[in-house]
Amino acid sequence: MNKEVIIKDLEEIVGKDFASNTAEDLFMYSQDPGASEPRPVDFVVMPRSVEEIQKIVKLANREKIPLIPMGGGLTLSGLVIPIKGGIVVDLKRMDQILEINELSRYALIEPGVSTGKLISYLNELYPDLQPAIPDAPPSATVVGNALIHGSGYLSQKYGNHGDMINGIEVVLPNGEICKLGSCSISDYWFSRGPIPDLVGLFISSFGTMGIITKLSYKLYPKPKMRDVVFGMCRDPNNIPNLVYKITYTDLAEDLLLSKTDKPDYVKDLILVMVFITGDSEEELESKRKMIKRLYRKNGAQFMNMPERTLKGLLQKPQFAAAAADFRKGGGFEYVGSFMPLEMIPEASKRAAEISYKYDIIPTQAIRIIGKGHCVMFAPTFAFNRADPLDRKNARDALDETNKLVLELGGIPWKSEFEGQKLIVEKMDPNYKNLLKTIRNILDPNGIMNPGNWEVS
Amino acid sequence: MLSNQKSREELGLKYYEQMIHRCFRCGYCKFTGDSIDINCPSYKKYKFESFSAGGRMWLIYGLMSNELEWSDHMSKILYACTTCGNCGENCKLLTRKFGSEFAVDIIELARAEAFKNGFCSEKAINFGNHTAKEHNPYLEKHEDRLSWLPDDFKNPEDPEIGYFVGCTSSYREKELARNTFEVLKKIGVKFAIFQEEWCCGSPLLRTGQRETAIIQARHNIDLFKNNNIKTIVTSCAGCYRTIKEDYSRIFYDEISEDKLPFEVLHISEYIKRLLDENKIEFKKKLNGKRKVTYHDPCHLGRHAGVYNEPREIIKRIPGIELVEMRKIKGDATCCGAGGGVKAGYSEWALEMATGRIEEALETGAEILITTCPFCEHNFTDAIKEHNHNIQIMDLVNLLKELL
Ligand SMILES: Cc1cc2nc3c(=O)[nH]c(=O)nc-3n(C[C@H](O)[C@H](O)[C@@H](O)COP(=O)(O)OP(=O)(O)OC[C@H]3O[C@@H](n4cnc5c(N)ncnc54)[C@H](O)[C@@H]3O)c2cc1C
Ligand code: SF4
Ligand code: SF4
Repeated sequence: MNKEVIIKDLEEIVGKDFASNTAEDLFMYSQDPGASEPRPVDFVVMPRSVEEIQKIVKLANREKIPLIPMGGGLTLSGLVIPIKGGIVVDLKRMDQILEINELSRYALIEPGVSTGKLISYLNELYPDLQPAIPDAPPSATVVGNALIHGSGYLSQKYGNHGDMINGIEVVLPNGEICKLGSCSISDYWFSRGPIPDLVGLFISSFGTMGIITKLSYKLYPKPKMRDVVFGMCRDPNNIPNLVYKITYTDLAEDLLLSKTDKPDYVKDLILVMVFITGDSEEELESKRKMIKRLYRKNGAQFMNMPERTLKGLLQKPQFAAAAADFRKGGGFEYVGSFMPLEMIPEASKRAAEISYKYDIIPTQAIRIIGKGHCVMFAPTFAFNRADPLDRKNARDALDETNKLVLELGGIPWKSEFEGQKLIVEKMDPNYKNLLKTIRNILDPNGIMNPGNWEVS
Repeated sequence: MLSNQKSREELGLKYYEQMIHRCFRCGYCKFTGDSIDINCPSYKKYKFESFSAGGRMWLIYGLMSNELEWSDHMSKILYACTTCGNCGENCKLLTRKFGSEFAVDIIELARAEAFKNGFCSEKAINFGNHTAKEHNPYLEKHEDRLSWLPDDFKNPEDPEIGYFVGCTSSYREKELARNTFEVLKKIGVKFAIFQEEWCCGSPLLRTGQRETAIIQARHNIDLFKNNNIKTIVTSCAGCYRTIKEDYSRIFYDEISEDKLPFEVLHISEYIKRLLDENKIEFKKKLNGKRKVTYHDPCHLGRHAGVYNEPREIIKRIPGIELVEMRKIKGDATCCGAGGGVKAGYSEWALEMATGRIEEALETGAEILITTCPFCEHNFTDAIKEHNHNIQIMDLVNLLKELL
């Protein structure tokens, strides 16, 4: 690889200011805020248009150099740190909200639009509409989050964020542009069907199938009022049934559970948070009553929470980054995992044991996705960035938890490449073959984020 | 606090050794409080993570842990920052523990390292050297500092306040110096102005030239002490922040009772106080109804928390309607002049000023009021360049007509 030629070509494509291989920029892009060890990057480039992306893809094919598409770079699991070197394609300059279709309720956006931007934009101009966003900091991109099967507000009601994609425009690994979904036939980006649904191929594929340049994201009605009804459950074995009963009703917009062993008096308790919405205080009050009744009948207890806690929870996004300072060290990572509801009690118990083994206070969050069809189970491991051993402990704890999740029948989510290897090991061989075949056809030079989902 | 404030100067960047890695690179610091706009001027311009505050924290940590070395690009990253303080204002993770000033403080201490390692720009070094000799960064003579002052003015025996004029008003925005002088006369307060006043040290602190800055600062503190000045009034947001915040941090231990031996007020705080005490009133009215908007200078607003006083004064002026820009107070857009950027990156500084003027134009205001001669200077340059149909005015210049 002739680095001088490549940087010159990149500069020609995007302009001198937006391609770099300085030690400082490469240092930044060689690591993320999670527990992964830094890995080398060769170049960083920030395109502004689809045409520029096409040219970058052509260059990568010519030079057989990897491309790593990047949004906010906040997955924590090293997904935008190259595994085999290459060019990080930072998409944040493509940050336009192209269209809001108020009636059909979708937003057509570029890949660099941050969750913060979309939510504030809608608050200001379309106050009756809301997007589903994660609790990631507002610099996370909507596209990056949707493309990893993210979850967050509205997940209980409407499913994971990958399901909220109506269609995409993608620059394929050969440099061609392809539109998928209704937009391939119509001017409206309103649906993925009724045609063969190829969009799924691009979700949780971690940039291995192409670079998404436009995405239509579903928007939802925004009720006027929101509140949280808190409950507390002492016996984790009651949780599946409690969740089942709550999701049987249409009461909850969202349903979160959390568990931490500090301070001592909350040890052995699971906090239940049912988010309710309404257009009037009467409506909220009647929902509160019904949730309280459900708590009583299903092994949980209603509890009052201080106003401050409630306020923090009603923020969108919540300030989840606070976990980065649990060990005064600017780092945390979690094994988000998709798993069936019935596995929660055992997963919670055994993940806590892993935390203790690594001297980390167990902190777990559980988010119900789509009426309990799936739960996102997330044990969190904070670490001190300045202490290599602490960081390694977090990595080891993550690895053990990934194995635990797979053993219990769940699947690690947005997994680091080590976790992806574990998943691939367990995957049905025909699934693996299909995946490999598709990838070889789409990307014969193997330029798209190689090392991820590698099937040998 | 991280360690004894008094040893901060000796420790330099090491003062932050135990906390700098706690930056999570979460990026709140890039935005306004509502996350809708990118409000870190430097990240907005350069786009790479390295040019955000979080990026800078990680790079500085890389330098401290010897994973990175000094280079021209590192120097550019450190100096292409207006030290506007939006980052500290909006960082949710570290501000709660270390105060909103931590980010700019770290960047400035890293610049001090850059200076020591030979990575400060020649231009900045030149104005630093000149300040060492002539006590101003504008390459002017010290003896001309008070050239704007009427010859017949004499300091009273027992001044109630000292007016700290500052270099920008003394040499570049003399109208502001003259008008502040007139306003103080109209108020009837006994005030002193000192020929021996030296640069407050701000341009030097911002560019990492701390030793020379500290010499200026020590001289000024002694000057006020020796003249028994109990209250210092400044008409410059930069001098205000430096004397009030930096002098305290450099020379006084916040943990003990030991504090600056005088009160520091921005002229807007002083006038607001007099208005509240009914000691002054606006005797005249502006001709016709005038629509104005107010720009929060970073050094007065985010750095010192003075947001309301200028607004309260403006609202009390008969015949004036204050219309706010979209981004104000903690979310105000930086004018682009600070942190050595006006000297080091003049075109970019102008670009930023133009952006802010456009925000002011959106309000339909006829006058853009500010309370910092440095902002005024940069805005004036931008208006000249683009022929914008808006007048830029320091609050004092407006008040002179009304008292
Ligand atoms: C404090 C904190 C809290 C979090 N809470 C949540 C939460 O509640 N819910 C949740 O779902 N997640 C959460 N996350 C995880 C993660 O931050 C988010 O899912 C989101 O940030 C991912 O978006 P991103 O822009 O950072 O994506 P990136 O990290 O930039 O990218 C994610 C993946 O998508 C690929 N990709 C990105 N853009 C493109 C594109 N245009 N074309 C092709 N591939 C692309 C990348 O290569 C990568 O593999 C949290 C993270 C943090 C730090
Ligand atoms: S400075 Fe604060 S807001 Fe910015 S990245 Fe660091 S921790 Fe996050
Ligand atoms: S001080 Fe201003 S320009 Fe510098 S990093 Fe902070 S927000 Fe950006």
